[in-house]
Amino acid sequence: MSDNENNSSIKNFPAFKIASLAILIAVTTVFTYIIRIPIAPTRGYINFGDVAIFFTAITFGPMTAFLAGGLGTALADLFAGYAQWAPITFFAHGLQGLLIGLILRKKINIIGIVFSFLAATVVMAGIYYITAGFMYGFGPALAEIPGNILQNVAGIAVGLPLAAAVRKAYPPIQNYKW
Amino acid sequence: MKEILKIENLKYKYPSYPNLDFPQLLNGINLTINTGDFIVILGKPETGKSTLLKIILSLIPRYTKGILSGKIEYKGIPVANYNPYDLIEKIGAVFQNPDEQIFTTSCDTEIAFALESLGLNREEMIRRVNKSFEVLKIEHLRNRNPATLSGGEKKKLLMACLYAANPQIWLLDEIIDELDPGSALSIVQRLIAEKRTVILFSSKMLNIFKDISCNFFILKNGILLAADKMKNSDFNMLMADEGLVIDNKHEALTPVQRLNPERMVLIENLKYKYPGNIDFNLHIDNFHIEKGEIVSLAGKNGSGKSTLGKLIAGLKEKESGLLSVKGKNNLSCAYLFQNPDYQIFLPTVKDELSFGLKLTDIEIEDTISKFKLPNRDVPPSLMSYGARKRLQAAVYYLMDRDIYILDEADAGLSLKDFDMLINILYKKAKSILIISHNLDLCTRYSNRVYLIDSGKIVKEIETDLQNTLDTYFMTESSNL
Amino acid sequence: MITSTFIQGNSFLHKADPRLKTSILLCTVILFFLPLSITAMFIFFTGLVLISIYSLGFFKTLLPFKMVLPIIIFVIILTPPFFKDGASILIIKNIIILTSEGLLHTIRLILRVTGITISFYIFFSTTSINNFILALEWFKLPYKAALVITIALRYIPSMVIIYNNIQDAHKLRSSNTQKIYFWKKINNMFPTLVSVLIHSIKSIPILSMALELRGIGSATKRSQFNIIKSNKMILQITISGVILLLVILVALLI
Repeated sequence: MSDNENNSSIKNFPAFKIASLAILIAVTTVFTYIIRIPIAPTRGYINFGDVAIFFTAITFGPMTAFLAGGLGTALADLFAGYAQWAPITFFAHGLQGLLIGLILRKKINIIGIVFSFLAATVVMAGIYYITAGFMYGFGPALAEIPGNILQNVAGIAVGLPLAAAVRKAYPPIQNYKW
Repeated sequence: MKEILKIENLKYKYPSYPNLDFPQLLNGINLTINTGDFIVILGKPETGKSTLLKIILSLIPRYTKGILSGKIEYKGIPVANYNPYDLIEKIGAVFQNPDEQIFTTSCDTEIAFALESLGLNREEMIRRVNKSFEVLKIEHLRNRNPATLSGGEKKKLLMACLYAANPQIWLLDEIIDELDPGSALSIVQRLIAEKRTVILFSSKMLNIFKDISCNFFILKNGILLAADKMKNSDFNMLMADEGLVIDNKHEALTPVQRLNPERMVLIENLKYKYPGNIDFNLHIDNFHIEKGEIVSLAGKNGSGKSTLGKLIAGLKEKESGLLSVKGKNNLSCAYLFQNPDYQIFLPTVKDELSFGLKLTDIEIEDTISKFKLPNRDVPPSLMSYGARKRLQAAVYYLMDRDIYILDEADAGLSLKDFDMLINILYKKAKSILIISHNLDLCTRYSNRVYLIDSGKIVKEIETDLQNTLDTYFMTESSNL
Repeated sequence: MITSTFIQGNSFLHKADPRLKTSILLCTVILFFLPLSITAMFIFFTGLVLISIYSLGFFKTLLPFKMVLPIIIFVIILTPPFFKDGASILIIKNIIILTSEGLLHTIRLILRVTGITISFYIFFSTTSINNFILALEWFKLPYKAALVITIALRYIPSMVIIYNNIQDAHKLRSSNTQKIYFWKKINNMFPTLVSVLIHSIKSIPILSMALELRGIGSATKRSQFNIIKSNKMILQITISGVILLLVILVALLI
């Protein structure tokens, strides 16, 4: 019957967890797959997947960031035709989100931001490097590292202000962290 | 007759935020409903219909705290004693926006969803799913992805979901609008025959209600007014007052001055190809908007009317043909999307209004009072839907565009508010284009109506609008 | 946006049980990491390509090759310099560019990365995502996880539409000329991103309500409407298991 006091906050409902995960996965997939910015001189792209992960980690906490970040980017890989990377992407981006969420859980200050950036970059680029190394050699795998670092730079540089702006424009969001 | 739902002195007020206080929304609702009743609750937008529905489903105060008092009982037990997931077989609902209630990627799975929650065995699920497809006459949609359905089809699918779960009480929020009158009527009649209780919420008086014996209530100032407790003439007057029926008498607008015609928009032989797999392409032979005109573009969902609007606004690239818009660049048009939230992103009303503009305090205050906005420091995302729509119009009003394109802009606005918006915008605009599926609305404001279907203009009507349209359609519903 | 990788077809792979295909996919990936001889790897790789051509057609089979091309180029450029053992094959101005060891290793890496890519490509071209999720559920993926993915799949296309609309809405608000600078571009996108996120986050409680109204949260054990339609699974598994074992044995021997 009726919920007791501890469970009466919406963020504890199973349905709410399912809903927030599903929506944030969709957000991450769309940010990764659709939102891309060409980097001026080279022909490469930066996608906004990491922006979505930083945003999720700060506003929804580590567990949501782990699952939404991992699954969202893995689905983007699948649809883009890189299905073989999807399982690795899940761990690389999932752990990235988890770490940012854990480090910035209590408060957001300069030290925390720097730490979360370093941890996110090391884990994400590291996992990709090691698996790519096993798959096609540790020499060729080096080629991916600069791009992955750049992804994290964009992630934190856009994700943090984005989280702040959304929180300001839609205050109820602070009740959604779990 | 057995009493199934009893509401006594129900009061509710949404929680306040700093700088934003909501009025007492429900102020003593009394309603007793018996098994097999068909009840229509009419009320202009924002009178609390959807809120009442959520309280009946015990979603409020579960999701939105606020101040709630009074009694609401299902078969003698307060609904607050139930969790929403315990209500599947008791009270079911179809919300206004179907997209928010569809979870899966195939129609049969969608219908089976609630049955799986009930733990029914597979044979029973298959039987009920099949039966629901049959009753709603949507067998052909069985393996379709719900995302690809039209608005009306989605609503039928959601009704099929309810039919399979078979709740005692059906709560239907603004869902008849998009269904064709014939099937809407037959569904409701069937439910009544099966001793289901139906409560329908609507912001418009529709003709189909007249063909079913039902009890009308009007929700006004937080209380329910029963139609059978007032004189017929009073009821009709009240409906007109509240804008529940659209009368064709909007006199505030001056008729067009055709002495010095100036083309604002001219289209000849315009072609647009939809990306991806769509059955038709847009092909507009002739279309024009003169200075000072309010032109309407009426058509069904998916007829291409929004696409044409976006082409004029410069949001889409034509394939070939002539499209000339006065003022050349794409900043001569304002396009008001149906959903006001597309444009809202800043922390306060003041920020939102002055984004990219240099406004004085007086201009801001003037706009706020003109568009009846709460106050300058409110976060727009927390305001009511109607207030957000007025803010959206205010934003474009301040940008001084020549042509204002309103895409289904009446949705969620009371008729009075929409009248007000048209009046204010018309003072500034050189021309207005109203895009709508509602013909009554088009004829209320327009000098000319274009009818669009399958990407082509099928008729242009200029004189004696109402009669021409009536003879052209000869249908029950004024909704295309 | 394309949210389905499934290609309609009628081949034996289309009809095969998704649980079986999932297991085989896993085996294939492991196989490419085993210390097989180049010959075995090559035979195995050719087999995969032939299966792909048979079930998806020649032109569809070219796609995965196109996708791994950049990686193959990197492998060709960056692998040989790390191998100095074995007979020298290519020497320019007294610098050993390519040795036999280097060549063998390069070929091995190319076969591995291309082979794994093709395996995943075949799998997701012949298996619908819904069937894949059902298979994962059978392998004990919790129902709630499967539901989360299903709902996400349903929301992705509508979110793309919303994103495009919001982009349009903001385009008309600001006078934006073509800006080439990276930060300027991001600056212009910022309002769109905020609107997209607020819009998405506002839909969470509504979706949650709709889920609860259809029974999510209830203690009743859920039953299952969609089941994998395949009654020959045991047979399929035994046969494939035997074939796979033989293949691995032969491959190790070669």
